[in-house]
Amino acid sequence: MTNASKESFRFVVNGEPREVTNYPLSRLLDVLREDLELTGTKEGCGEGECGACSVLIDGRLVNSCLVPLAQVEGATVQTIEGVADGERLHRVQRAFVEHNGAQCGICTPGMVMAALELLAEHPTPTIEQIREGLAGNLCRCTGYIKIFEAVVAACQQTEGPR
Amino acid sequence: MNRFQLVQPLTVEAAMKALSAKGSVLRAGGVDLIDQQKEYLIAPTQLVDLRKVPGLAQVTAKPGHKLALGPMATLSAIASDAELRRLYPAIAEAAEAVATPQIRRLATLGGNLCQRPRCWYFRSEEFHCLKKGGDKCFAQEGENVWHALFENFPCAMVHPSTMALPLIAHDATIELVSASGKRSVSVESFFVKPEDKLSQETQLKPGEIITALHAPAHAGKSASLYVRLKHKQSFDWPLIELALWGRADGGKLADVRVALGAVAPIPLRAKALESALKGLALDPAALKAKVPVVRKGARALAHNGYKIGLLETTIARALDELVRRLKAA
Repeated sequence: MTNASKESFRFVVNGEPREVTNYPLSRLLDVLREDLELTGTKEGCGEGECGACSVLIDGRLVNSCLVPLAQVEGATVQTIEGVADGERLHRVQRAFVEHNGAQCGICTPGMVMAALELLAEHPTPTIEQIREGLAGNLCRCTGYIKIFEAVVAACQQTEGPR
Repeated sequence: MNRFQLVQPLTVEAAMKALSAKGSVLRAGGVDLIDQQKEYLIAPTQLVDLRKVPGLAQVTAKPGHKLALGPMATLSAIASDAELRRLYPAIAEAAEAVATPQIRRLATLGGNLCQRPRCWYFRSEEFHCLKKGGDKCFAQEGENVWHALFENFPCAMVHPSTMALPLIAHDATIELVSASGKRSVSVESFFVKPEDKLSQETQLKPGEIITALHAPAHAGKSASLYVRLKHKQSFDWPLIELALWGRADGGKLADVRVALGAVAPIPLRAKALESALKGLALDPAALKAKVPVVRKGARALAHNGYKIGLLETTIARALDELVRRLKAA
């Protein structure tokens, strides 16, 4: 894809410092999945429309298919693998499980990442804020209602550290 | 896909130099750029990334000062600036309405202004349309449900820039720099009609870079707003969008600017409507009675006539809100 030579890039992924040697224009999505073997992040459309590849870069939700490797040098990246605390699911993940927020599961990692950012900005979002916060994540199975219910439930869960 | 490389200059001068190399294309947020490459609209050999050039991402809104926005400011930075929202609400509301949260984190103001049209014939490899050097605008007699109502010949695209509308309503200017020097143009005149130039939508010259956008200082007793009507409740291109700016004086609408989107190949200033509204009392009924003036010059295609009614309704609702905001100002 590029005639530039491979270079080394350093950034933090899910709390761990990582170094990746690849082309500067490699998609972060591919670097995560192939170089770092973090296959929880999914590829849907590959052009920024579906949100399946959503990750947090420095706490900000982006489509990793649109971000070249060179752009994350020195940044902190969080993927779906960094959401649970070991075997203990995050309250958003637990709510998706308990409220049938996932069917085929391809959109789910991106949905969870979007819900994390949404709840960081609006701890008790209105239904309109949930719709807008998840607007960049397409789901072809659920019809979204179960997903919205899961996000509402996640805000109401108060037990546990998160 | 063609082979291409990334360069990351650290100054505007270095960016201009890199951009002068054959096959070079500017990269800001890199959102529409990927689409254009995938659709074979462009095949650059070098992407000149502006992200490391300092000073291009400012959002500086202060009372009593002119507004300064950098072309690399992201739409989410623009949407979340509280002072900008207070003084130039139309600009913040428009930024918030574009695309999705993910895209607004990457997409830039400059990129929003310079993105290529979303007409499905233009974007499809299968159609060699007029804008791509072909001999036909397929939208004239084809599927034109989303297409232009005004100025829709020889090309019926609608201009995709939402951000142009509030900038025009706020009388903003664009600062440009190239090897031949600096110049400043109004946002309104930055865009060119297909009848004047088919191959591009702006008057940006080869090698030229946007360095800043400015709007006049907030005037007392003024207000602005942005509204869009869309098919879906979220993440959709507008069927109709508009930005409105007004200044009140002695209970009258002393000055007003109206910029319409999704209805023409350029972000369209509705000057006849502005003239009809100017000087009227701040009375919603009196103002709304003038809305049909906007129809003048409309030429509906086979499938987009519905936009005339939507446009009038959207303007009428926006005038209600403008009056409400002006009375509260």
